[in-house]
Amino acid sequence: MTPIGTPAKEFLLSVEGLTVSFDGFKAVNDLSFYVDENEIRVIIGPNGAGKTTVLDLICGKTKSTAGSIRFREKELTKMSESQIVLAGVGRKFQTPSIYDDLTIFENLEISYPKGRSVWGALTFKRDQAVRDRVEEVAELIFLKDRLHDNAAFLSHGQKQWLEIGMLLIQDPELLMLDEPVAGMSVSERIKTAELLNTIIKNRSVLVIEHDMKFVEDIAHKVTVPSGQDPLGGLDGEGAVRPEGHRSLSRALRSGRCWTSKTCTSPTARAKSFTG
Amino acid sequence: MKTAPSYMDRKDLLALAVVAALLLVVFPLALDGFRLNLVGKYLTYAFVAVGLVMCWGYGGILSLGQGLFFGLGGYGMAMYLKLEASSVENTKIQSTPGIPDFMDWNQLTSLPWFWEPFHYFIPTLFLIVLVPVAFALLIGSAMFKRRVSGVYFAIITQALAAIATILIIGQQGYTGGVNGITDLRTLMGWDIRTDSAKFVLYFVNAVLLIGVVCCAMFVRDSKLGRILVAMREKEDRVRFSGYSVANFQIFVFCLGAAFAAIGGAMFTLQVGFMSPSLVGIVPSIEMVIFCAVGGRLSIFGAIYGTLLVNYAKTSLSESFPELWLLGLGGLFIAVVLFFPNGLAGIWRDYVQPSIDRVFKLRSKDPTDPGHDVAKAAAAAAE
Repeated sequence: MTPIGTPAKEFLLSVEGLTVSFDGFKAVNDLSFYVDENEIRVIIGPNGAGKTTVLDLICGKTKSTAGSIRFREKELTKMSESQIVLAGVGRKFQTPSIYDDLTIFENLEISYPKGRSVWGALTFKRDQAVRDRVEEVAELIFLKDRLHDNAAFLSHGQKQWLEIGMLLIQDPELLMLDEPVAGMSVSERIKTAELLNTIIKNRSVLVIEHDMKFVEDIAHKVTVPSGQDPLGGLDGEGAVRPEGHRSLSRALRSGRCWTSKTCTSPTARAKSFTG
Repeated sequence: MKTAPSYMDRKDLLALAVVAALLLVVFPLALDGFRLNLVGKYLTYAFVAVGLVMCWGYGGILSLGQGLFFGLGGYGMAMYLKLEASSVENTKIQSTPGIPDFMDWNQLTSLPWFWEPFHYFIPTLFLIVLVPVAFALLIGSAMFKRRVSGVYFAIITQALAAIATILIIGQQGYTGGVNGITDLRTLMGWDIRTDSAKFVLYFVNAVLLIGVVCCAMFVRDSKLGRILVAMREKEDRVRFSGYSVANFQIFVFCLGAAFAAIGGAMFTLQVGFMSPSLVGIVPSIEMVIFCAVGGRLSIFGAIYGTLLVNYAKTSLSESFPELWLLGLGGLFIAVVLFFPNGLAGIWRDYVQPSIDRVFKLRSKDPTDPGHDVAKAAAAAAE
């Protein structure tokens, strides 16, 4: 059965009528969007628009009040967090969530998709396949020569990369990133965009980001989850620098990109936001 | 890089050898029977402390109710010994011969059903571990599945320890009440009150403790150990990496309970009684202090911490009985404030570096792994 209002094509992720209210306050109200296979989707919006809440809802951290989230035929709203991960959804948190007291190798190893039960973890063997995979990912995230350092010694940007690496090793079909470049220097941001462009092959990515330059660099489509005026909040925060990114801010100002806007350019740059 | 893990293993083996030598050779040679039995008693608390290292140090789950599990293990053993001591001919002056004396005093005329399995030694051994683990499983499932953690969990476990004490004291006919289960004599016909028996039991206890330490080291060095550390730091990250955090918390809580129960059973055997004074809030918190003083991240530290605090307790409470509790509280505060990693931290930060320096001077041979490590450490320091 195809969900109502969707074309015959099967989406990877279908969010429909998603609503969550905290003590009567609707943090997310009747949100619908669809993510294709191999698509990079960016969610933007002012603080409090419910962007992070959308990720929380998809990965099961928050339970929805109404609506459905379907991922590969599975209804995520009824599954536990670990089941959602096993189904193929990976999520990066806003602040780098890594294990400071473990080495980078161990950080990555914990995300290796094996030995996830208590017994499995007790009997888990660090074999060559694990080592190779960890080293492979460490190379991707520019941390290969620091494998045996404690993660606490990494810079903020490197911690963000490490967490992205931890997700990569999990090999999710849908990768959700919450502000992956927040607090990064310009050069780190460029490297991150590069990294994301490498890792998006064969998977879909859902990104929350304030940095409009970065959004333009990576996005295929943009979703604004709030029904309120999306620009007000963004202007107030100063996260948008409209002068350099007229196309996107014009799209925001037109108020017509509250739900998904399709980007026509195949070069992964968000250019046609005029709606 | 490759030398680092093997060096760790070597250091652990060395530490294990030192503990084994201390417990199995030095103490038995250096101490008289009375003092050795005292050390044996202290070492039963070390079981709990090792469990707390896993639970609290690694898993980040502070339980203030380990006395409950220590008590359950101890009572299990005491029930077996009591039944053996209450044979029909030993108790023929009672109105109901063949049941423990305190039951007779409380007008019980038959053995309660839950005492029945403790007639037999092998089932008793299983129950000593299984009952506390089942309790831990129940408590853990109820708490961790509901995401109760941190200070709330600590308070609840403390309340459980208090409830257990009240229950034991209140149900005098079934438990022996405030006196506990006393007048224990023989284990399968072997008199445990003699000096030679106490000597043997000391070694059984020490070997069991070393076994528990090895078990804890195995868990710590497995991936599960690293997941525990990860959970302690970023519970959500572990959860969203596909792990059921609650299951791991339940596991380590049960592990701590099993260790404590073994300690409790050995306490009963060596000291010859079990009473609610070893179950409640005060002993539970004392055990946390042993663990904190030793260093809550050090399995070996837990043993040294337990020995040291108990030695201080015995010697100080003999001279200044009224000051002891103040001293204990002060010690806990001092450790938390100044040495958050306890004795193990002091060792690591102050003693180990000087040993390493000597080691470095001696190993001129570059193929010596110790040399590489010393160099790596020096490089890391730069």
